This record gives sequence, C-alpha cells and structure tokens, in this order.
Amino acid sequence: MTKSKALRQLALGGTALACMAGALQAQELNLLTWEGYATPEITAPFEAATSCKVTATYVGSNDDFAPKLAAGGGVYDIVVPSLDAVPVLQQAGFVEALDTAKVTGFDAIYPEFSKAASLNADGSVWAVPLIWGSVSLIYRPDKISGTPDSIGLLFDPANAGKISMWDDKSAIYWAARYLGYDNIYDLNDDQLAAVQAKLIEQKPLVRKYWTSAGELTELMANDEVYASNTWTGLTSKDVNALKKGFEVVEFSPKEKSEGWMDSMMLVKDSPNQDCAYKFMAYMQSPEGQCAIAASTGYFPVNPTAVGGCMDDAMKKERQVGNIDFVKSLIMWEQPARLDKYIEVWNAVKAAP
Amino acid sequence: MNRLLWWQKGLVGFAVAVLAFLYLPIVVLVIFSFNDSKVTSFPLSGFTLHWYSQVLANSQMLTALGNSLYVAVFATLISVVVGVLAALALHRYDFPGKRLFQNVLILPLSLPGIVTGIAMLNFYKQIGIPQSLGAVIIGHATALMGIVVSQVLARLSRLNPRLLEASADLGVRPFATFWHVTLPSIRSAVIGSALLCFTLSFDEIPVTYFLTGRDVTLPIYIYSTLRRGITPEINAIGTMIVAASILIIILSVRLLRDRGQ
Amino acid sequence: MKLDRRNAAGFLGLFSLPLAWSLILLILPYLIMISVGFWLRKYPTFVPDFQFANYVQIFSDPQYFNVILRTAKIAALVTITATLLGYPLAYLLAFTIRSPGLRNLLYLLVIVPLWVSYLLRAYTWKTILGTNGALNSLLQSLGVIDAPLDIFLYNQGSMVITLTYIFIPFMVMPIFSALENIPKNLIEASEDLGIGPFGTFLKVVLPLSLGGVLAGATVTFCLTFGDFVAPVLVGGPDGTMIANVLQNQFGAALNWPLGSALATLVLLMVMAVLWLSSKLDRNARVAL
Repeated sequence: MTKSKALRQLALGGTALACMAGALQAQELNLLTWEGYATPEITAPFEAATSCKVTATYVGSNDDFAPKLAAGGGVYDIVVPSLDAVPVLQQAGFVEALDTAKVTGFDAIYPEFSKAASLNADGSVWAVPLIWGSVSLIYRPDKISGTPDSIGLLFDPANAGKISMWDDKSAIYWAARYLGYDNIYDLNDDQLAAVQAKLIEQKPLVRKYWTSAGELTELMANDEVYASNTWTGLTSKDVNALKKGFEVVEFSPKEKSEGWMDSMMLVKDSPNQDCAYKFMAYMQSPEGQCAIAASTGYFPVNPTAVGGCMDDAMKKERQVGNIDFVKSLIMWEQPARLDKYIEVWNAVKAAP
Repeated sequence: MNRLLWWQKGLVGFAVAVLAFLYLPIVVLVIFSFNDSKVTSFPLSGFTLHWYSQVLANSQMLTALGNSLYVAVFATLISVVVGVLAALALHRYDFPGKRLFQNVLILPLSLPGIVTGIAMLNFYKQIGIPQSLGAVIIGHATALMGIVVSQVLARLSRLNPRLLEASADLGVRPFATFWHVTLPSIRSAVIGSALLCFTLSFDEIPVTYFLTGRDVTLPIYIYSTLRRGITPEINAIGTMIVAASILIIILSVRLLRDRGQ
Repeated sequence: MKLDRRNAAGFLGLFSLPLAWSLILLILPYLIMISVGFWLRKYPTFVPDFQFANYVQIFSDPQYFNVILRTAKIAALVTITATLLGYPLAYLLAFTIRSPGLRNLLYLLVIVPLWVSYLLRAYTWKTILGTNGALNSLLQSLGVIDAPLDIFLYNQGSMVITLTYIFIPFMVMPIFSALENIPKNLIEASEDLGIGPFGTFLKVVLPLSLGGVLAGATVTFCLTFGDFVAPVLVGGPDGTMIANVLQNQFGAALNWPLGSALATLVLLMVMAVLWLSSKLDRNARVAL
C-alpha cells in the first residue's frame, strides 16, 4: 500500500470516527459502575423513555474510580463509588456538587444514607445513594468443622491453604476488628503495625486474594478455598446455584459485619449532565430501584420507590424499612489516613 | 527415523514433549469451549455449542473484537508507513546519532510494556489527550515501529546497491526507483513485519490497559472478565481466534512463498 | 551515503516524519515519566515538584526491594527453564531434521502459540493446575494420588511454569537462526577430525549459538520482569511482582509520582540488562 493511500484511509477513518462521536454526543450517558448495576433490564426502560444511550464500563474495586478520573476527563459522566471512596473524589475535584431538586425521589431515600457525612461536604450534596449491603463471611460447612462465629475463621491454622480474602484495603478493617480495635478507620501507627504483622502472619494460610465476586465464586466452586469474607448475597447465591454437590453458608461474625452503600456522583464538566440527572432520578423510581435490587441481590435505598414493586417476603429479605439493620453493621468510612492504609496493604502483599 | 542414533532419538522425544507442553493449554482451551458447564473445571460435563452462540449474541464482546481489529489495522498502517520511511533514511544516509536513534526505536520492544504504557499515560495526561482508542492506536504504532524498521533495514542491507545505482544512472526518478526496485525487494519484509505488528497490537495488554478509556479492546475485555470470573464464552472466542490465526499464518506463508519465487 | 548539503532535501523528506514521531511520541513520554518521578504525592492527588522523596521511600521501605528481588528471581528462573527446554528443540530443527518441509512445519508449530491470546494461554494454566484441574484429575485416575493436591497452583512455581510456557517460542526462534547460520562444513570438519558429536557440540555448535541464546534470554528476562498478568491469574499471596506494584501506584494508591519513579528504576534496570547483553555478545564475537 502506498503512503498516500494509507494516509487517505487514515484521514477517512478519522473523519468517520469524529462524525460518529459528534452525532452521539448529544444523547449519551457513560457510566463507570459495578457489574450488575447496568444490565439491560435496568437501562433499556431508561433509554426508551429518555433517548439517552447508556454505555457502562465496570470497575473491580472502589480504588478504580479515582485513577480513571485522574487520567483525564471527558470519558465518564456518572461514577458509582462506595461510601469510603466518595470523599476522595470530591476533595480531588473530580466531581460536581449536585442539584438534588433535579433528582426526583431524592427526598424519599433513607436519611441515614442521603444525610451521611461522606456525601455532604462544604454545604453541598455530592452523591445520590443507589444501593446498599453488607460484607460478611462465607464458608463450606462440609469442610470446616464446628459452627464458626468469629473472624478468627480467617486466621485459623486449621484452615491453612483454604482461606481467601478480598484484595482490598478493607483487609485492614477485618484484621483490626479481629485484634479488637474499634477505631478501624483511624488506627494509629502502633495499631497499623500490629495489623500489618497479623496479616503477614496470615499469608501462609491464604491460597489466593480475590479481586471480584466472580473470582471468589470460582475459587469456592472449584474447591480452591473453603472460607473468605464476601459481599453478602452474591457469591453464595452463585455458588449454590451451580449445584456442585455442596452448599456454602454466609454468616455475620460476633465482631459484626461491615456495611457499604454505593452512590452516584456526577463527573466534573460532563457534557451529558442532562442525561445524568435523568438517570439519577430514574434510579430512584420504582423501575430503577426494583431492577437493580433484582439484578444484584442487594438492598434498595429508597423504601418508597420499592413499595409497589416488591412482595412482603422480598421486602423482609432486602431489609426494606428495617433501618435498624444498618445500626447492626459497621458502615464503611474513608480512612483518615488513606495513603497510609494503602501502603500497609501493599506492604502485606509485597511481604514474602 | 531408523537411522537416528540413540541420543538423537532422545532429542526427538524431548522435542515432542516440549511441543506437547506448548499445545496442552490450547487443547484444553478448545475442549472447554465445547464443554457444557459454566465453570471451567474437570470432569467434563458434555458437549455443547452453546458458548459459541453466546459469543455471537454478546454484543459487548463483539464490540471489543471490532475495537481490537480497528486498533490493530490503523496501528499497523502507521507503523509501516513511518517505519519504512525511517528504514530508508537509516539505510541511505549516515548522520550523527544514527545508532542511538535505532536503539531508541527498538527500546519499547524489549522494555516491559507496562513502563511504556505508564510513560505514554503521563504524556497524554500532560497534553490533555483523553484515554481513547485513538490514544491506543498512537501508542501501539509507536511501540511497534521498531519491528518494521529493523526488519526492513535488515532486508535493505542485503540489497545489491548496484541495482539502485544502475537505476539512478539510467535516469530513473527516485520515486520510480523506489516503486520499481526498492519496494519489490523489501515487500516480504514489509508484509512480514506488518503481520507481526498486527498480531502484537491485536493481543497487546499493558499499553492498552493504561491508554484506553471506555472503549475496550478484546484483550482488555477478557482481562476484566477473567478477574470477574470467566465464562466459557471466552474459551469459545479464544478457539475462534486460534482457528483464524492458523488460517492467516498458513495463508501468509503461502503468499510469501509464491511471491518469493 | 554521507549526509551533506546536496542530499539534505532527500534526507529530510524521508526522515522528518519518523524523527518527529519518535521524538514527540516516544522519547518525550519517557522523559515526562522520568520527571513525574520527582513530583510530590499530595492527598488527594499529586503536584509538580522537584524532590527525591519518592526515591527515598523506594530505597528505605524494604517492600519495594523485596518485590524487585522476587521479580528478578522469577525472571531468572523462567529464562533458565525456557533456555533448557527451547535449546534442544531448536537444535533438532536445525540439525536432526533433514526434510525442509518437516522443518518448516515444526517451526510453524513452535510459533503458532504466539498468535493465540496471551491472556487465554496464561489463564488456561489455571484450569490445568487447579485443585479440580487436568493434572490432578490425571494423577488421580492413574492412582498416583488419592486426593487432589494444592501445590500446583497459586504459588511461584505456577507462575514460572506459565511464564516459561509463554516465552519458549521467544527462545527457540533466535537460537534456531543462530544454529542455522553455523556453516555445515564446520561441523563436518570437526567430525572428520574424529571429534565425537558431543565434542563437536561443546567445541563448535554451542559457542557459535551463544549469540542466539543470549538474544532469546535477554528478551525473555526483560519481558518476564515486566509481566503483571501471571501473578494475577496463577500467582498466590506471595506472587506480587514489580509490575503489579506499578499498576497499583497508578490505580488504588493514585500515586503517579511514586509509580513513575519505580517505572524509571525498571527502565534503568532493563537498559542495564540490554547493555550487558550487547557487551557480552560483542565479547563473544571477538573471542571467536
């Protein structure tokens, strides 16, 4: 191929691409969110009603949001971090303050969530709650003797080589709670050193740190591990559905489970603000809240919205109206010294 | 084979074992693409074509495949155009810094891709280019250019210089000389290196990982799926890529051989 | 030809695009990365600066040294294993096989795996080595073991196996072309002198093929050194390599300055390996 021909093709390709981008720009919405939060059941009714075309990209961890936004704007319109990753996005200036008047249904959200300190800073609201749940423990009753009731399950040498843990800074919270600290989001240097030593001591017992619910499902289903911490509801449902001849069981340890809540934030200078607000409002509607609860197995944040689209058994299972359940959990917060926590977790993984 | 000595027989046995080692994962991949179970583990559960129909119904995966082809085609075109120009200049002229320039061009080939990816991410961030497929194309073209330059340069250096001189003496204009003399003689090097660039770009992970935005290429799609837990669809598309690659390799070997004669 | 005023126009015509391209899109990015290594992490992001705290942190916190050492160890093991497996194969292709058709076919068989997705080939090892994997199933059906073994997967051994597997073709190709370039009459002469096949191999073939071994080993070592996929897929809790740490600095830690400083160190280390390799190659040529 000659140079000029190649160049001409290049130019053609470039122009075509630019045209496509231009044509789509007016009516698109780009989400950076979690697997299961933008299934066709959730997005199709929204697209039909608003003619905003939804494109979703998925993250594996709460630590993926800030780096994606740091690499440059113009790519995503809405991000969906958990409670403990909300402040850093706001403080870094990656997101915009919200006009909650444009989010129909905002007032019906549990105030425990919408008024949470992490979401409200500098006199503005920065995030619209979407869905919530807990992090508990999961194990194989046919392989582990007795009835475990403590985080000690993950530190018991009897389970050596059959333990997994979420590859996340939250491992520090679990070890800290096992060590009996209650200031888990504000540990001092001595406590962090003890946590780091505990986690390094645990390493020979660990077969693999998991990075996604799907990976944990695979580890449990393939007999690789017998015990782990887990996003309550998802992995147990998936593993038991495979019918491999055993069942897995979830439980809340006596040291309590952790609670999380994911919320929607508007990326700074998004060219698709209009679609973004429409989407946030849609997700507070009965269609939106029930669709995401059905797709994930997690709990809705808007009891009014799900009033008509869930039966009573489902409402009980998904803790609708039972805000006391939140108080039985240790809700996530961003650690006071985020950098230090990440450094400690990296040091654990780097240790021999 | 009967005339082989004992140590040669041993060598053949060893080589067969190494080849088996090379093909074991590919065979396993193909087997599981037809296995009737959601989880990739033994024992096998039965034969199905379900995963192939799933691939054809998976619009995300097909989009990713399309993105990969798009990136690989344009990255290869750029690498070839700029790389051939560079090879011609390096072949024809001596200038200060020539060796250094050559070494810099091939640096990304031996340097871990992650370092090149990080360097380019830093750069794009500074000049304000958002993460996108365009950024990936430029990144791949730049990182792979060294292949074209070194292969074409190697071929040029084996070219008989008298041929070019004769052509110039006969008053043939430089561009015509390039078209009728140089190009035909470097054609197989150009095709070979273009094929290699295409393959490497199609399968590239580290540079793409850092430069791509919301549009993902097939390897990045597979990477995120692997982390989320694999579905056998991935085995199915993998098998399809294996089949297509073998076809392309056979075709290109034929093509190069026929042209060579 | 020598560059002078008469041919400058032609030179510029050919060279300006490649030069501008590589200066702006290749060299400049590396330089920017090096300079970001001197920036400062300041929560929640980072700011331009010129200071050495990142390097101080890298050299004072043992976690980075540990990981670099582990990465070098794994890269070295992979290089050695791939050489031991690849050399006999290349030798067979170059000398033992007489039929050119068979040789071409076998050579193609060696390089075809390169065209199969790197990720899938690495991933498949998980399926083979896992608790319910092919290897355990096979050993159980042969009666070698009663219960599946855990020892095959999620450790440094499985990483070495997977990476060795990936890089064998990279070893075979340069060794084969080095062996192919050895004049056949040299070998015949050696055998005519009554030196047996092993003597000929040690005194003639091996020294003349070292250049190919070196080329393959260099590529294998450098690329293994920067791999971040194998640890994620088949590595265990002790599998973190330097590329994973780099990835983390640009991801979770959001510390581009520290990540860039680490990447600069990797750049320097790889360039040192490349330099050493070319020096060894030159010495070997001189010695012959």
